[in-house]
Amino acid sequence: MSADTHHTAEEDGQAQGAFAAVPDEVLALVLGSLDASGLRRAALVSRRWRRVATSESSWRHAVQRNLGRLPFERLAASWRGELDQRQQHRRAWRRGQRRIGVSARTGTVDHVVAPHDAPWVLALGCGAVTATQLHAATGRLLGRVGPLGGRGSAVAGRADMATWGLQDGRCVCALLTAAGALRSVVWLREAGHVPVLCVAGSGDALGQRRVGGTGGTGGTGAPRGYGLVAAGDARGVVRVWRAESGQPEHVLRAPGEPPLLRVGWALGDGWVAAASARALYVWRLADGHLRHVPLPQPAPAAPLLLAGDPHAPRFFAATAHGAWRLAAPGDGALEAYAAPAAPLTCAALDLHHAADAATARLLCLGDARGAVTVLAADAPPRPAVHVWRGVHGTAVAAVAAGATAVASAGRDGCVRVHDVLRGDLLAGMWARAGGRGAAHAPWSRAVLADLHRTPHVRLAVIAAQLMARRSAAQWAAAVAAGGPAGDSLDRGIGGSGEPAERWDEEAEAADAEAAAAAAGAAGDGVAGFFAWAQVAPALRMPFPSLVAHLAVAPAGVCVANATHVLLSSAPQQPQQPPALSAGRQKKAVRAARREVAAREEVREEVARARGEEAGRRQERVERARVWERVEREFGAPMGLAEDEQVQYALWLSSRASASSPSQAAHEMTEDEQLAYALLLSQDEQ
Amino acid sequence: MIKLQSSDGKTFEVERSVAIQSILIKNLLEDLGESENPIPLPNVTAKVLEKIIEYCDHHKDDPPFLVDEYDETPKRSDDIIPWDEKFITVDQELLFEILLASNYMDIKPLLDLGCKTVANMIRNKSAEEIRKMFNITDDFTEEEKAQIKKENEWAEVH
Repeated sequence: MSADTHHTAEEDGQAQGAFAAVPDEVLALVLGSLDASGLRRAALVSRRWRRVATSESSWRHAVQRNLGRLPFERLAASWRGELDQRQQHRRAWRRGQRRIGVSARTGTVDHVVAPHDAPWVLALGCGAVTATQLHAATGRLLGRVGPLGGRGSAVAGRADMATWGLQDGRCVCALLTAAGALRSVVWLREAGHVPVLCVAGSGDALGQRRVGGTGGTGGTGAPRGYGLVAAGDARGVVRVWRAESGQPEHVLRAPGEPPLLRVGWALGDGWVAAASARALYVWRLADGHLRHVPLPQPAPAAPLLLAGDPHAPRFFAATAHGAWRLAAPGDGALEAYAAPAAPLTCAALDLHHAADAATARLLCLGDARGAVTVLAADAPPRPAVHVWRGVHGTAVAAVAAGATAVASAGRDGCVRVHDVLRGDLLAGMWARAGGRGAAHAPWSRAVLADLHRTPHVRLAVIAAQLMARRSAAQWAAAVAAGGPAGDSLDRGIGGSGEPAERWDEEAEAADAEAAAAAAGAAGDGVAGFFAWAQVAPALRMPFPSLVAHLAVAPAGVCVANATHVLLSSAPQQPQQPPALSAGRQKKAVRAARREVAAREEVREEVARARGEEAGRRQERVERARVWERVEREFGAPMGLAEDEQVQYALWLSSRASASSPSQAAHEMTEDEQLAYALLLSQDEQ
Repeated sequence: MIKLQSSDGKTFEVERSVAIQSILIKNLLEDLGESENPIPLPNVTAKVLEKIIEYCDHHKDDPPFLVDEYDETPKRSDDIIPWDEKFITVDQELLFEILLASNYMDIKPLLDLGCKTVANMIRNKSAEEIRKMFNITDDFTEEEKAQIKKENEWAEVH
């Protein structure tokens, strides 16, 4: 106990009672055991308590007591801010919708990107080369580029891509042709508050080799703007281009021509690494110095992760057999993280916590037995920050970490969100709605077309068994009567409910199981998943997954399958309206009636005065206003189009005004309560 | 055996494994070596020292208190083990003396226990209730009160 604390304790007066003799540091420990609201109350007790309760050390203790020790530096500017921020996120997760809604259809999705500090997600598709920007909470379409070259133009082959530069809220992706040439670079930059999608000019065709994998890293502060982009190919060559101009910069060759499956950057553009199934190859760009680092694993395995640190020359790699850190590329020393209990199936490096070279990162791993592990990435021997064993019934398809939460998705579409520090479950959701199953290559139309050639009656029976959707029986009947083919197959199953109208004479007999898979692929995700799970081994195809990509926003997850981006939103406001007195209920209902009547009047008047077209415009404006309010106040109900939401809100308001006051507050579903609360808030204005 | 002498002159003889749970005593023993002379503890009365020895005796076989930076289990103030809870159920005066003595003698688990216990007394209490419980005078000036009220208006509704 220092003389200083003695001094201050006495200085604060004699009247401190039991705490008079307690030094500030012990008082800080005591107050640190409280939660945030307890600390705020303690700050009102006396001057001394206020000084201690508002000190950083009390808040630091409070963070540790309430959340656990941080395996990394704090993210917020102060400990108080850290606790507030984390608890706010926790509340948002807990209050948030436990559903995953379907966004607008985005086309093929091959990457999904969610910056931790911006309210949008970006879905990137390689097939038709599209980039779609959606609002993270509502799924509203914010911007879109592509398909490149316009619809129907000659975009030869499938593109592969790299994404990088997410730390500063920018996203850049380089699109490469299947032949290994840099086709173009798409980047998203923020002009004021409006993100703009840009497409840079195409580069020259540089090679004729297949692209094995791509990678890139942040151009934050890099003198070359967005820096460089690199791609490795199947014959051991890594090509590096300037991102903005598309000019070739380096050609790096790995000895022995191994197929390079992933590429990563470290230290801005100082080091580039490529991974094959057996080893890492690390080049220092300044002098082309190569270091070959064999991966110490029992058998070759495709790399799941190769990520570099934007602030330091180190790389993180993972395969099914384990995860490693290459701390110093110069001497090739590889440090292993604890060996996994089951083969790893996915890995992700979280850079949210990497504010600078000193702070730690989180390494998230998912394995074949459904376990998720989070490690402090910067020191392999340390115990895991958290291990969630067997949280998924299937292998983990994707993991992602955000500032507060780590999300994981099972192949069956189960999405779980856990607190990074406390380890408890914040949210559990199913990503089963929407989309056509998962984003594995076998789900493509080409495979579907192959599988069309099937004995129709058996196909119908199996499909009917597999699919729980309303159209299945109709479709089965249609198949039994004539049989679908080509495009009509998936339309028949996909939910239109219409029997197939075309009969393909060329349909050949084939494997009934394959047909079931086709049925699943064309239908909804769940049926597709189980159909695939049954037939995948027979067809020697990868085990299916309903989820291909996962990203975490501060209070929501973004899941992508082959064709859709699925979002969960977490409204900041409580969803339930407060309990109302009978008087207020009556008032609210009267207000709702007035509102509806007034709206009708306005509409009629405007229509009369300005003609039909003008009236419709006014209606649109009004709808937009209501919708915006619903969105702002409560988070928009998911799964409805903008127009539908407004319709729904209006419909609910008319219903609420028609029903008796006692019914209004009691027998309401969640959505109705939402609309009801909207009415109340309008009433208050 | 180690001899400890309280402020009021009473001497206690304890096993070394009990005594070295106090980092203060551990450091003293390492620096000065063991001797027949009792170690004086001028800030600790016999009543409190007896209580502390009871605690250390019960916990002498515990693994070292984790002060590791990467201790992953969140320490929450509601996870006190039953023996400790019974041990710490004492009047307020003795509780604060134990708290101060454990701070002076640097016995981290006991300090932790004391802090948790006091925090549990404060938890869910208003500022006025806390003042009353610990006999603390509200020494804010009127201007400060007005200022605080203004800052905390939003918090009152929570």
